[in-house]
Amino acid sequence: MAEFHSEVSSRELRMDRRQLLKWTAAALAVGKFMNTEAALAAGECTAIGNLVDLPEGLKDVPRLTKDNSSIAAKDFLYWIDGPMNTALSGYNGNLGQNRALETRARLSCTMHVKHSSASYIETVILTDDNDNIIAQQYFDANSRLPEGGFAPYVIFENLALEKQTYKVFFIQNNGEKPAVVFEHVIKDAQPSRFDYEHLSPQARAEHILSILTDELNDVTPQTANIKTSVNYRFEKWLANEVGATETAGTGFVTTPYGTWQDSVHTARARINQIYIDADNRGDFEIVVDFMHPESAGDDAHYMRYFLVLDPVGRVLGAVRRISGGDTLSSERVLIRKGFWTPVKTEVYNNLSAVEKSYSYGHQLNTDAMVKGDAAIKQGGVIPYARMHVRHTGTGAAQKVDDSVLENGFWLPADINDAKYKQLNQVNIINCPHIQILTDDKFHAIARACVKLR
Amino acid sequence: MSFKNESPAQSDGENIAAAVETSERPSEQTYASAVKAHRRQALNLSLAGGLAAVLAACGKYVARFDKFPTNLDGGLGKKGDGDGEGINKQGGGDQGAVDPNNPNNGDPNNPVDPNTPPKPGLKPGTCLPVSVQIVDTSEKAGITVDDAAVDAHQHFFGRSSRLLAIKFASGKLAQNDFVHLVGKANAADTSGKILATRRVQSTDLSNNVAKLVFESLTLMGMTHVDVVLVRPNSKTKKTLDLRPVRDTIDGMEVIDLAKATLSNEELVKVFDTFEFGKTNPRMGNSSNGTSDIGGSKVTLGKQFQVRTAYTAATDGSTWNTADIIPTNAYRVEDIYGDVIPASSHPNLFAKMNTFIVYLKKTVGNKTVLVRHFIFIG
Repeated sequence: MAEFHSEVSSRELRMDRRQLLKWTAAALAVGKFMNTEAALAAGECTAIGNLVDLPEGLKDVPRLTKDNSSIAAKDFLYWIDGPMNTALSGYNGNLGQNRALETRARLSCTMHVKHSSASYIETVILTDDNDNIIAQQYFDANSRLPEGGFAPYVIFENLALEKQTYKVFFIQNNGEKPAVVFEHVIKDAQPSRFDYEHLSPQARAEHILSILTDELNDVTPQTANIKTSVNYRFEKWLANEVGATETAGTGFVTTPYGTWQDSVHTARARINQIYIDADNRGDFEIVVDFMHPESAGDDAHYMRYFLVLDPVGRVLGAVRRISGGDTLSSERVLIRKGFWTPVKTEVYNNLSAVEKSYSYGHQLNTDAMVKGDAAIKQGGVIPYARMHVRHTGTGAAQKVDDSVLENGFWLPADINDAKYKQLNQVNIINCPHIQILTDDKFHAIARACVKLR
Repeated sequence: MSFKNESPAQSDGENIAAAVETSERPSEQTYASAVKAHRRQALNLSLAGGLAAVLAACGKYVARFDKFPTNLDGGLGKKGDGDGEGINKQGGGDQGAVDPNNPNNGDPNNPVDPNTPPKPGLKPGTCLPVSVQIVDTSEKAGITVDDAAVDAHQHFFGRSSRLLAIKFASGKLAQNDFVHLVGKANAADTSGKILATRRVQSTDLSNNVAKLVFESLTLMGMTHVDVVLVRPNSKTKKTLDLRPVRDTIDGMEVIDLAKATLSNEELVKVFDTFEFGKTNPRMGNSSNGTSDIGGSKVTLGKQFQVRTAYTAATDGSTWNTADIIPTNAYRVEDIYGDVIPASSHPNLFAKMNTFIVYLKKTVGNKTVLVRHFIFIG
């Protein structure tokens, strides 16, 4: 279903300082620098141009001196969400002809580079396909995320998408060294979604979400309401095609703007706590409800994933359930930072002491998190182990296993594995907002979003 | 486990007052001195400009002799390299440089293409503005004051950035007009650092009123902003003071969901107050072939509910808070500060993405308002 993906291409360019200044001034007025005398007389160097100057954008600004696409693509992360006409159109053909709602998509993006006094992202420019500037933000060396020192998230609100092409330029000021311009072209911009194609090559290698999306995309055909596979995505809802007539691959991510058929398919959650530990690890506790109860023993339709993502889709925390692998049936899960799976008490009891030390418990009647062997084994407490703990769902002896097993979920055992690199670099403390998602493996994956202000 | 607030530096980052009073507010004297220094640099540059022109003509680098005094650079992050203070002021080493895995990063042997000519308009010898440009917003630059330009604005802190929502007065902006935010150290300044720019989109306009949300904003040490409106025949500005923080409503303290100013025990209670998404916000009932939206009537508003099961209003024109929370225990606003009355606001979602819900919560011996931001989409 590649046609539903935004196509992203990236280039890394070089420019000298004169060009850099030209770029950063472009949104003010192309070619409107004043000479020294005039600047001093005016007290400043730059003037804001008239409207006739401003739309000129970046079209004629020379920039290409060296092209290195692979490097440019490496660190670019983005996510698009928000109410979309494409989604609204799916409900009713009339809406497409008489749209009372406009797209108000949000583009969140960042370059995963560290800021220092010697090198930092100075300007981020959003343009349309013709290099007309839509928005621009400026930063300095201190404009870095509180934890990790990375370049900030840049979030552009209220964008109309509708298969438009956007360009995002990150201009890295390297002092006296040539500036680097990372040019990212998002062609046919579409809401982001969970599938492997959406991830950049580097993200596929290092992004833990790629593991999850591999499985999400591997949903086997169901027979009840969905014709063939469910390919989860945001907002893609084909007109007049629902239920039994739904076209293959038109699964969607529901938002507060849309649910699947009659029943509730929205993400519902409560933020219990966001920790600021002494090590600034950025742990948190978020309770996420089931979208609906599940049928006992139905491996094809049960509440499977519960995810907390940063604004650009990196995983902050994830819970993955195995059908029958815990005693939950219609309740909720407790997500923390990291990768977890709820298990039966007998499974927990068979874990090694080391593995138990990682575990935590969710006390259902209070939604509190408990730790320690005795507390986790109490009644009414759902034990959570690290996600790579093997399940069989039968209560048989369990063990930690770092290989792919029938009912297991593979995660690298080595905490230094590249797959964990991304997890160790994201922190909820840095997030202007978070995304919370849950899926039922069958109908939909639902999403809610909360700004952290 | 309780909320830990042990790091003084980190707590500073969460403490609105501390952030405003310290890292986000360079003194006027400091700023004035810095500007003077900058202007002295600029004067010196008039002498150095010729040399710069020669270097530029030779395809060499133009030296970074225009670096603005960095002690003004209040930003987001740690004070790690002596470049100033951020919200979080704890120490730390240099946060890193150019990606070491990028063999071409900053390679002095890989200069710019000497065949690329300088673009006309940036003449050799001109005054090179500071990295984050200083912009003239005075009348000399053709910008006049229009205090009626902005109808309302709200400014919010985050752990990592700011959010400034501006509702402009009717008719003040049209599609494709430009808005610039220019940060200043005090209201009287006639110049400042450019912070953000936005070309007004059709999606920003409703009934001739422009509403802009500047997200992920960093003030870079500034306390005021000039909001400069550039239209076909005018350039006007309105100065906003970003120091006031809306920390009380009707005498009640406002607590942000993601911030902590209460004790650990109290914080748990505050966080546990609110659920989002526990609604059935259907736009339409697609299963039976009918739709709640269509034609000119957009009825998305009915689905907004606070902590309640789905009990949609049947007329589809209003939102409600259902019956779990009494009407005197909450307050709903849009992000621009306009109160949205319950059960009387049609088309709630039609032009707005973000809502703020204030929920009363009695914690210990005081009642606070817990502020929650909800993004719809």
